[in-house]
Amino acid sequence: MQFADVCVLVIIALAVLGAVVLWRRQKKKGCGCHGGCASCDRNCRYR
Amino acid sequence: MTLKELAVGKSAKVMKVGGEGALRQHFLDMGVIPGAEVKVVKLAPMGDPMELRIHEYELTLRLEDAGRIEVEPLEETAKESENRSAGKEKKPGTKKAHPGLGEAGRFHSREDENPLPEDTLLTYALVGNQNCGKTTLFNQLTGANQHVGNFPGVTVDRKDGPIRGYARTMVTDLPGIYSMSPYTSEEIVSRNFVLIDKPKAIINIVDATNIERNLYLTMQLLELDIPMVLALNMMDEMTGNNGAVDVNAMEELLGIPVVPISAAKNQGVDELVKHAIHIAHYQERPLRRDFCDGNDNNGAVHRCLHAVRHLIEDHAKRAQIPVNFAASKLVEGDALILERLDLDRNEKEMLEHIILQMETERELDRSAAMADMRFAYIKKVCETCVVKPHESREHVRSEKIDRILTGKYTAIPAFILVMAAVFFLTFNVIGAKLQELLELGIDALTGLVDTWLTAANVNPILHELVINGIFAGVGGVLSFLPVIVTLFFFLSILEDSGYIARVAFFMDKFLRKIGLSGRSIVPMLIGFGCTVPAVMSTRTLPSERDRKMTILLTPFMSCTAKLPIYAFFVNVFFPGRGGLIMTGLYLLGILVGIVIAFLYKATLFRGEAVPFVMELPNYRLPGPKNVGQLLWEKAKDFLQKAFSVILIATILVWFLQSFDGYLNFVENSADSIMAKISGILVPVFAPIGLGDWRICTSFLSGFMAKESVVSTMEILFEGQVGSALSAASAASMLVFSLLYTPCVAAIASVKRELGTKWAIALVIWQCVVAWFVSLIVYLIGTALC
Repeated sequence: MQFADVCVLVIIALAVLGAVVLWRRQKKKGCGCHGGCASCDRNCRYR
Repeated sequence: MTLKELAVGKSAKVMKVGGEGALRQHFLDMGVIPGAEVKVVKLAPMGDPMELRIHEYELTLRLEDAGRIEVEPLEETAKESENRSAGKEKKPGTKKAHPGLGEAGRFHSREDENPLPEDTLLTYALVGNQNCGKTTLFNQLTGANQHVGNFPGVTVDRKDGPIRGYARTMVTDLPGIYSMSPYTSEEIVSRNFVLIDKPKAIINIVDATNIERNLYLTMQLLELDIPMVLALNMMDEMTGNNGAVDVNAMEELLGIPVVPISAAKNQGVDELVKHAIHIAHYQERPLRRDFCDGNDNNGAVHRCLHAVRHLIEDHAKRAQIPVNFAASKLVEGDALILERLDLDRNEKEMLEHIILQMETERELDRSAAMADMRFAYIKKVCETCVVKPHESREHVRSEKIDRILTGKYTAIPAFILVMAAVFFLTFNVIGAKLQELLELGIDALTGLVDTWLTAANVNPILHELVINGIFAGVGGVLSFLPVIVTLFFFLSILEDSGYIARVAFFMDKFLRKIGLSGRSIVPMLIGFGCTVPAVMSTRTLPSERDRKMTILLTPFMSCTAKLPIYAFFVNVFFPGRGGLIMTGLYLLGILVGIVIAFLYKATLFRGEAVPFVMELPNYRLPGPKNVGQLLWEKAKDFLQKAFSVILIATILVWFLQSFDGYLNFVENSADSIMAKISGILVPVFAPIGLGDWRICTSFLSGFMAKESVVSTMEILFEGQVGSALSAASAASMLVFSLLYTPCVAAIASVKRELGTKWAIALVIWQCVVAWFVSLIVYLIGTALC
């Protein structure tokens, strides 16, 4: 495997890790809402 | 005669309030009490409901409910009466000295002060009517970015936040309520918070331009004997229309600090905070908790309340309910308080006799007598302290606008025009142009990365993943950001300006035909933005039946997440007809929703919708800060979704469609893992023209996030969708996407509101409906092509 391939793989792995962290952080809000939408915030019981 | 028979433009005096239970109590709480003056402003375009003016605000009421209120016509109009009292000079009298309540001054005695420990968390309940600027004040106090909606029932549940600059504080924003009666979930939530959570103080926000009705809640809050400060909001509007308030006199009459503010302009908020901190820290309770007058109507209510207080004193202490509050509620017939007090049989009989005696002497039933007692005190306060403004500029402007937007022949055409303009500007003009620009940018970036990867001689499979997987998938979805943000922009303008409340008003009669009330239009319109908040906003609906039915209908309203799917197919198969097709899809969704509603009405949800009593606020220009904040949050949410769920889904889909079961890279995706899984569904979708495993895969990925349908199709079809499907199949795909199950977040919100069984049933039901309607569309499309 070349150095360039490793770099690309690492970048993709970091991106996936970041995506998972972001997703879990949104889910942790507890309401199952994707979060950030003001109408949702206004009505969310679980803030 | 009854209010139902009163002609438009005529005024009358309320003589008797009929009805029973929650509806009747709501009438009384809104100020529809014997002796109140009321004017019929207009009827909705379909003849029902009616708009009334009472206590200088607008209220909607169905004709059937208006028929329960007996009135006596007045000779002078209510406007003449208002003008008579507006701008009236007060008799010159002794100028009131500032009582200094809530300040470290004359009132506060240092000798016997008993402050809370310094490290105590000072908790506050922020309480007020709907539309009084409560959430705006909450934003100013906490610096939190909360959106302000301008139709009733927006804030359903509590929000918390510390006051800026005071870390040891916590303000809880409670739902907007008109009284502390136990009939609606918002009132019960607020009551329970105050009685059980026991905040250290209350911040009661009152709309100065609508002071009489707002003070009705204040009276009840004072009975709770909790330290309280009154924030007199919208003072800028009040004074701008030549009104005035003698704050010192009001402070003396109410026994609590009164602070004039304008939450929107952030005026007076610092002073309010100082007072709030002081009263909470030193636990300075209201000086006045008793508003019955011993001379009023021979003191019937006064004697009744005092007798009940003495009777229940020990029980109230044991139950930890303030005795004045408990006594008032018992006299009103509050079953929840009665249960908590746990009176014995003898005490209950005595209680009933006391109240019956009061009713006999007062010649009013208990609820009306209590409402009348409070409004009598409020009248005294207003006569002493308030110079009423002339008819406000805002109200005059609202009336002029309403002549068109809620006119008998113009309301519905105006609504259709407004919604058509919103869609046209979104899909054909602003949104579309911005989307083109963004696509150019994304294409340029993709090309650049492609060049780098080629130059670096990266492994072809990795190269494929990055360019044809991630960039194609995520990029395809990202390009719809401008369209979604634009649509949200327009929806929030409609919401914030007060127009949606009018829509609820004139849609009430129509919605009643399908078994719902006008208030259900609100979640449905929100559903055009996103199903999740729409489902949650059904908590504002007072009836469980209405709530369930609205939740089961809202997913049929096409959300913004489906826009990328429509736009994608319109661009490929129906170019230049974007606006028409989109509008058609939205209308089809509404039409199917109506048909389903009739079905629900005849089967699962038999019965009538709840009474419709709703305030119509003045039109307001949406604050740019509020709107900007909402757009940023929506864009942020979309971007977060794109770089989380969709990125993961894209990589997963790319992997499943690029490798076979032995993890060999396949040239033909028909041999991939994905093809095998989706192949099971192909026979189901074949009759509706969608018998391709790639389409089935896309629908499956749409379960995670609707936007990923497009990203999945981009990957699987390798940009060749146009040649893979016929126009009829494309139309079928559009309709299936419109109607089939919403995303997992929406299902989760339905599950939370109605339970797992209802959520699963909804998923299956929507897929079945989508299949049948798609079949019809496909057959028609095939016949025409």
